[in-house]
Amino acid sequence: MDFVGENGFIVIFILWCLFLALTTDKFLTPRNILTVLQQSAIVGIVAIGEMLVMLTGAMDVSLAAILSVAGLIAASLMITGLPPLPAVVIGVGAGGTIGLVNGLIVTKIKINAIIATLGMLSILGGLALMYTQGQTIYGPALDSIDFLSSGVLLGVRVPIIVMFGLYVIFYVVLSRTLFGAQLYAVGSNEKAAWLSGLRVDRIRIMAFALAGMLAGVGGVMQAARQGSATAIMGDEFLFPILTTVVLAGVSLSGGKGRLWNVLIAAIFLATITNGMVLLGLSVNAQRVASGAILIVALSLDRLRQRVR
Amino acid sequence: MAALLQLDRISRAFSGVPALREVSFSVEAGALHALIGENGAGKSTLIKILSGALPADSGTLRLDGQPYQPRDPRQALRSGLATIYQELNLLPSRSVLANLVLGHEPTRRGLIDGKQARIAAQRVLQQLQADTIPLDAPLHELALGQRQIIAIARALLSDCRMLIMDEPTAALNSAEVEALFKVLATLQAGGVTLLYVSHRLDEIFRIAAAVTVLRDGQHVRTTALSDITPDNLIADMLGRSLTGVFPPREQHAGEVVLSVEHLSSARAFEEVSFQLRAGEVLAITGLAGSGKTELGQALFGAWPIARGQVRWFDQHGSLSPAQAVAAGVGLLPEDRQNESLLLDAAVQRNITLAVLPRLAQRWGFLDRSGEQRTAQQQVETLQIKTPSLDSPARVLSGGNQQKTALAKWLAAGARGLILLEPTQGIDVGVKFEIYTLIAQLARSGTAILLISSELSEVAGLAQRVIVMRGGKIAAEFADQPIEVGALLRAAAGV
Repeated sequence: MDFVGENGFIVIFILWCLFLALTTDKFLTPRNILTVLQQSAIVGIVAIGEMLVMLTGAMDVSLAAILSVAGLIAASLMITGLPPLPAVVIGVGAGGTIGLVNGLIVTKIKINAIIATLGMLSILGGLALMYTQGQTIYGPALDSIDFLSSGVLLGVRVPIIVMFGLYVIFYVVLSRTLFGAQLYAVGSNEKAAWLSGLRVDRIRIMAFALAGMLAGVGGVMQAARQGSATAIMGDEFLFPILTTVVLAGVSLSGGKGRLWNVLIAAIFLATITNGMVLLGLSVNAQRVASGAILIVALSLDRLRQRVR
Repeated sequence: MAALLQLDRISRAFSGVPALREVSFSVEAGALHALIGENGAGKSTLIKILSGALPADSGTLRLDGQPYQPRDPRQALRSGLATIYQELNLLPSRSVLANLVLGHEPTRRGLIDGKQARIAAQRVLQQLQADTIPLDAPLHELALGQRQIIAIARALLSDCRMLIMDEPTAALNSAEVEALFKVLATLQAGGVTLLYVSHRLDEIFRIAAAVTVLRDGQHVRTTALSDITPDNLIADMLGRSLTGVFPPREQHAGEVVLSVEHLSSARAFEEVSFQLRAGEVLAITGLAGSGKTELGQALFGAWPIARGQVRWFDQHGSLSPAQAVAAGVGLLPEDRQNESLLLDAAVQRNITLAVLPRLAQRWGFLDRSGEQRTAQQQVETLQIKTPSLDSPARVLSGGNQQKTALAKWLAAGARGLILLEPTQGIDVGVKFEIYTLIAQLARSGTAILLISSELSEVAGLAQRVIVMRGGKIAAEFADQPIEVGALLRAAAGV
């Protein structure tokens, strides 16, 4: 019962799945479930990074733009003839570097994290558009990373494997390593952590850098999925990333949050869209309904907390 | 002269523990009446009852001969009794003017009359000879002394007949204190009666006409200051002797582990030099605002240093908390709730927080059974009462939280400890456990810097005591026995 009490959104998620299972005949097919998982992969991966940053009591709203930039860089390098592996590594590394810069601005210049990353969001969006001139970057060279989107390993699509793999890795990092312990400590009481000898700034910068790298992974995967890259390819992820971590109950003030809840929340979001399509709702009706489901799920969480 | 305020057998208890027991005295109209007593003597409770923030359990109050029973601070204010607490209760981001008229804004047809407010504010600042303070400046741009004056001016604007001030000079420098005293004289000339709470005996002898001493919640004496000496007042405040409470001290100081040379900060302290040896308990005491707390933080790298040197063990260069911890030093902060513990994290993690890097193995993986053993061992040694190692620190009592905070440094094997007010707000039983622990640690060679306002624990535990006043070392006591009275005299400067 404790589990349900602390994770109200999961109850709504299960109810929603039951409803879809009863009203549509396609929802519970293995094929559709794999589709949902695949659709949740990029948001799910980038949301891990957002959670790391939020655990330290900060927030990064520039991850969607980092995703675009990293995808653009990797795609452009491949078009100019670089082999896929180094291109992908450089793209992901660029994401990590931007995250590092975010972290430095937030900790060393001490600008509020939301404001600083909002600035970064605008800078990156502008730079990306200046670079592409609004054009789409594509070419046969991009086919070489196609397996990142449609490749199949042991009957499962690669994006799903990457997502689950990263969740397992970060679960271990958060629960078993020094870095994970310190991340939670900084978020739950920064002053006490500092006075216990923790290098608070360094830990927070690490979180931003990792978040940037994970956004970079998301960017490469999105480029693979589209077979192209644009300056605005990350924009559609801006709200889903934030919605996922908030829905998962990651505390906005830091120190609290469960990784598996983030995964479930990412899948829930994909299920909402998927269910709407199966129910044959119009795009506009989908937007109304997905907003309503979110608010209901979050209200339930708050209500339970108040009852306690 | 007639009595303006009369207290008759005022009592108040908190969950069965009496804070005030049948306190009776009266304050003459137009006088500056001082109220003194040690920490915990009941001064704050008394102020809160007078200002309507707390009801008395029994007893009666009379103001100007009329029964006075304020239900809340607002009603007290309407009866003409204003209170200025140490933290002043002003709004830092609003203007001086807005602060002055807050709560009694002049209105015209239901709207605030800005012109009238300005005229009234100017008049009252003139009256206090403080009309150089700009009305439109945001309050936070004012120096502390000026803010104090704004708080007084606000009380005057509400037409108060009596003003209660709680340690108004605690955080002021000497020039600001002089300015404040002038204002107080002006107030008295205008017929305002003052009840002045202070630790500073020198000030009291300078400006007060009468004094009331409280001890352990009881009234000891009310007298004209011309009829008493500082030594008698100190004896009244301390009362019973405290021998037998503290563990025996042993004198076997080892090598120097901390040397502080000409240390100064921008505002809190200046030119502080001393040494601390292994196995020694060195206490630093002083009144609020003496700079001792900031000095303690600076020795841990947690307060900015302007000039001078701190050297722990063989640590070199600038000092941050992380470097201090790496050198083997721990700090027990004064503010347990906000600076010491991760309240929502497990007791286990709170204990191991500082030693975690040493529990990390290859790839940064934590030795989880090692972590649990470390925490379990400390819980047993210090007899921390917790439901389990996984319980959040929030559920522990204040005393057990403090033991958990100490356990963090014992687990980390700290060889130097800075303890800031280690027994503040802790019940008596745990207090003595902590005293015993401090003595034990010293015996095993840990160097302990005990920074405390509680003179009895300072005198009872330390081998050496440094007394600070106004940011400087005022006196040092090394010869046993250390007299509490002598410490108080040095701290107050009489």
